[in-house]
Amino acid sequence: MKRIILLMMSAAFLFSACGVSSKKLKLTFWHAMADPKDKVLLGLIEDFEKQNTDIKINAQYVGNYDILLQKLMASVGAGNPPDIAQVYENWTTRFKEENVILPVSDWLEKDKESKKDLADIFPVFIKNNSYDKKMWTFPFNKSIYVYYYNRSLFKKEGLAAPKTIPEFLSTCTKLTKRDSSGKTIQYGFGFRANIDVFAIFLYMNKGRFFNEPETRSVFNDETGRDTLQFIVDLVNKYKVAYYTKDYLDNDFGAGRMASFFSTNPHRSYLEPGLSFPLGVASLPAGKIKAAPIAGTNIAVFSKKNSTKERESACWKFIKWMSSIENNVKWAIGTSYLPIRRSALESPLMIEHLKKKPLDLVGIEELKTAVTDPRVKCWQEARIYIGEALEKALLGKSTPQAALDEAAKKIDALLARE
Amino acid sequence: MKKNENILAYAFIFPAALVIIVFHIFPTLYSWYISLFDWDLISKTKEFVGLANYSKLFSDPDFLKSLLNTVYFAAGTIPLSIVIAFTVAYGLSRKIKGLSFFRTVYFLPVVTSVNAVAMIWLWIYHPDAGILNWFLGLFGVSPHKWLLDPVLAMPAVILMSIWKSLGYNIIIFLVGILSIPGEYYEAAQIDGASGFQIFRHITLPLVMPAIFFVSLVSLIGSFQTFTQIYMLTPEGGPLKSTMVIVYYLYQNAFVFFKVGYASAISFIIFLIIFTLTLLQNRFWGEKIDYEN
Repeated sequence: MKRIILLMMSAAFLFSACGVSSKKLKLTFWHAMADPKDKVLLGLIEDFEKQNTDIKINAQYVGNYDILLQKLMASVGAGNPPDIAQVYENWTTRFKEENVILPVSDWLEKDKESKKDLADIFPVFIKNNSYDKKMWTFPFNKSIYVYYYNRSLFKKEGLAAPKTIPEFLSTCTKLTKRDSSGKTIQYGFGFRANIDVFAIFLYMNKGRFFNEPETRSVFNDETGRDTLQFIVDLVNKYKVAYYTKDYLDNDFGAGRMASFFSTNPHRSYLEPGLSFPLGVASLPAGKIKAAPIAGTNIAVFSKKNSTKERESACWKFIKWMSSIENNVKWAIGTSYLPIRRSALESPLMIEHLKKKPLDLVGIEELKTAVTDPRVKCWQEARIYIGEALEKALLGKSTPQAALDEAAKKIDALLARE
Repeated sequence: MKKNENILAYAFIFPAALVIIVFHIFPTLYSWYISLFDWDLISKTKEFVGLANYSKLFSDPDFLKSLLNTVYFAAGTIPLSIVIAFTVAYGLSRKIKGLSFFRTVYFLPVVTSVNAVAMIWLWIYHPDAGILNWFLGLFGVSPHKWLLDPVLAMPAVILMSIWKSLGYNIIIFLVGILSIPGEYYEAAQIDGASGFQIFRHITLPLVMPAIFFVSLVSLIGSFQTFTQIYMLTPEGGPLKSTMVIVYYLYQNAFVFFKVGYASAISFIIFLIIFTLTLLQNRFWGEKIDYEN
């Protein structure tokens, strides 16, 4: 027994000694890219390591975005964050305020090529990653909301994807089917009972959540009320939509709903399980055409005893990932949006879009992209607005009263920021 | 010699004590300390607010609702679970055919992961495709939206929780019943006691410690309920109808990052569980026959 323990201890010592002896700079990268997207990411990282043999990227899948934020907050609090991680804009607001991340503009200013690169990146991403004229984070896995539909059901009715809200409503009506007993067996549209569906309709109605400096709620104005009323009517008055709190993939796959909204890369999870051809179209237009951007950016975290080498290695990685060549590989592999205009001219991309023309839908929508608020309390605000939606759907409150209640709670939070 | 033995005893206790001090006692005390501050986990400065978090708690309708929901959950699960588990255990204590089969079947849910079980129940409760609505439909009951309905969501969670914990309670009761010496029954039979009298005066009092144990553990468990709520009804269910106190704590701490406020909630939970344990101990303590 003693001998076994001794043997194990010496083995452990040997292993740890090996770890110390290699001189590679190790960077930890926390991400939330699940299968199959993680394969694309890991493939790119492998290429990066081949070209930069002095750097090792330790990519760690930490779970979904909620868990990623929890882990980031806890690790920052404990003084031991990862080197780089995916972050949403409202997280950045927190992190930059506490100076726990390093602004990427520090490198951009020093880097001669950066001007050209920045000019190539879609302006909406630059703007969304900049705070007080400084770019803090770098766009990474950006996506946009699109309209997903069941092409075989649409074909059966001779329908095309709706282009406007009236068309959307009539499409939903035609695709809602009831059996002889009056029970609905197929809905025209489905959504998750949270803020996202409200946000999509709100933006296309030219509504906003907050005033321009993001200090006060405006989503409970007339536009907000009409938007919520419309969603409630879809379910309760026209009875053409179905909602759940769960993911919609199963219901969509089983043909219980003919269409729903989600982000464009959702495709890579959704499509493999479907028994019918998937349709992807741009969101129908309300008063305006507007599609919300989703997805995260990369942040570099500041660390105790950080070295110049570590920081420039982080930057090197970000720069490498966003090069035209790699951005194209990333976009093709995952269906995320390319962040650079020139990515669209790359032969690989042109070839890919010929094969998968549906990926073009999201890219086209970039012209009408809108972005979510970046207030620190956004996570909490999302919950309150989701509750307002639920209250209105269940008829416990009028849309106006439900939104007013949420606005009051959120304004109290905004006053403290 | 005696001294050496003491040192040895401490040496044995030390590793376990160290783990408990580092991972239980210190965090508990630290969270009480944090409950006096307004803090978001990453700010360098914690703003001292005294007992403000506590006074805010009692005017916070969401907190009061979560407290009430927890009581509802406990009241819904514990008595029913005890009655069912006891009945089943009584049946399983008889010499019937297929005994080990039934014992396994009842115990299976306990050893299955809550997450996996909840995924199955999500399907059972599905408003359109769920087996529950289909089954009720056979008797002409119109379909319900279970987890999406603010009135039915909690009963639905309760039902799953009872089913999940039943096997554990059955095992405890079964052991209690089977450990009653046969002579007691024989003596009662010789005295001419009826079946019900035997149950009332021998089985029940002698199984009391087990009932006490189960009710206490279940009560404490209900005040710590989280996973099935998180899995079945994200964000605390329709209109917060399944928002139990630990879920509210979680949401404040790890979604809203109001760590001070969440710590205050955790202190209240501690107080409740501590008081319940004391009360239950006093109330039941005298009535239990520990002789066995």
